[in-house]
Amino acid sequence: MKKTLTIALLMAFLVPLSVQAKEYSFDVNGKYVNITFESNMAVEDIVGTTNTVTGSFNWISEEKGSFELKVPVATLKTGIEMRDDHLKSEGWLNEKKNPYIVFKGDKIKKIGETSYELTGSFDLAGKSVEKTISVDIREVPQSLVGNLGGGSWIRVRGEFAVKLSDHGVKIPDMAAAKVNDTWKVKISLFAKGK
Amino acid sequence: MLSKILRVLLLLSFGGAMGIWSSAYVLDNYFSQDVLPVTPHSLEAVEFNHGMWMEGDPVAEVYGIPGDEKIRVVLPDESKLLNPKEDPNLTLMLIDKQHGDNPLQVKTMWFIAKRAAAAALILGHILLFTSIALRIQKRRKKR
Repeated sequence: MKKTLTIALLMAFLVPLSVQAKEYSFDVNGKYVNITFESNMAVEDIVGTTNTVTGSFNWISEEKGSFELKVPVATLKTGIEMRDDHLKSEGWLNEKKNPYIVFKGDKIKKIGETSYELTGSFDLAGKSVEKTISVDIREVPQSLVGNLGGGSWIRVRGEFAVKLSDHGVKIPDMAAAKVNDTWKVKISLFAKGK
Repeated sequence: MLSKILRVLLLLSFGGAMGIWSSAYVLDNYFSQDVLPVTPHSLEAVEFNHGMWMEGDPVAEVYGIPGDEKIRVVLPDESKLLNPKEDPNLTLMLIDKQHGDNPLQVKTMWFIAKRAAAAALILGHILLFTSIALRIQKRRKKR
C-alpha cells in the first residue's frame, strides 16, 4: 500500500503539467484579456487593441474539443479616434452590419508540449475564411489563482496574420501608403474553468 | 515694396526648409530613443505572467504584447519606459492605445518633415524665379 502511494506520488510529480480537460470561459474581467492588431508600413506602424472577448474553450481531450472567440468590433482602438471611426465604418469592418469578429472551430492539434494548432472559421467583416492559428496554452499554477477564488485557469497566447482583402476589405487609395493589407494579430488571454 | 516682400518670403521659405530639416535631424539624433513597443497587460496579468515565467521564456511578453520590432520614438515619455528586471538591457515602452497613447515615431516625423521641407523649397524656387523675372522687367522698363 505504502509502495503504491509512493509510486502514485512520484508519478504525479513526473507527469508534465497538462491542461485539464474541461470547459474554460473567456468571459473574464478585461484585465485578463489583451489582443493587438498591427499594420506595419514604411510611413507608419499602426497598433490597435481590445480588452474585450467572449467565448469558451471546451476541452474534451488533448486533441478533441471546440472553441469560440468573439471580439466586438466596437471595442477596437488604435489611439486616434478618427482612425477608429474609419476602421469601423462601412468601407472597412462595417461594425453596424458585422458587430463581431469571430473565430470558432473544433479542430485541435497538439504540436508541442504546450503548443497547439487551432483550425476553424475566422469571420471578419462578414466574410469567413478557414484559418489555422498556433497557440501556446499553459495552466496557471494554483498558487497564483488563490486571490481569484481558486479554480482552474489557463493562459492562451498566440499570433497569426489576417489579410483584409481575404475578407473583402479593400483599402482606399488614400490610405494605401499607410495601411498594410496584412495585419498581425497577437492574443494573450486568460480563461477560467467552468 | 513688392521686392522687399518677395525677399522676406524667399528667406522664410528657404530658411523654413532648412529649419524643418535640421529640426528633424536634431530631434532624431538627440531627442529620440529606440524602444520595443509593448501593449501593456494589467497589473493582475503581469503578476500571473511573473509567476509563470521561466528562464529562457521571452521577457517582453510578461509585461504586455510586444511589437515585432523596435521603433524609434521622438521625446518618449519617461514614465512609460521600462527596463525589466529579467533583462535590464531591454527597453520597453508601454503604449496603451485604449487610453489614447500614440507616441510620435521618428519615421512619421521624417515623412512629414521631408514633404514640408520639399514644399518650402518649391515655394522658395517659385519666389526666386518671380523675383528674378520682376527685376528683369524693371531693368527693361528703365531702358
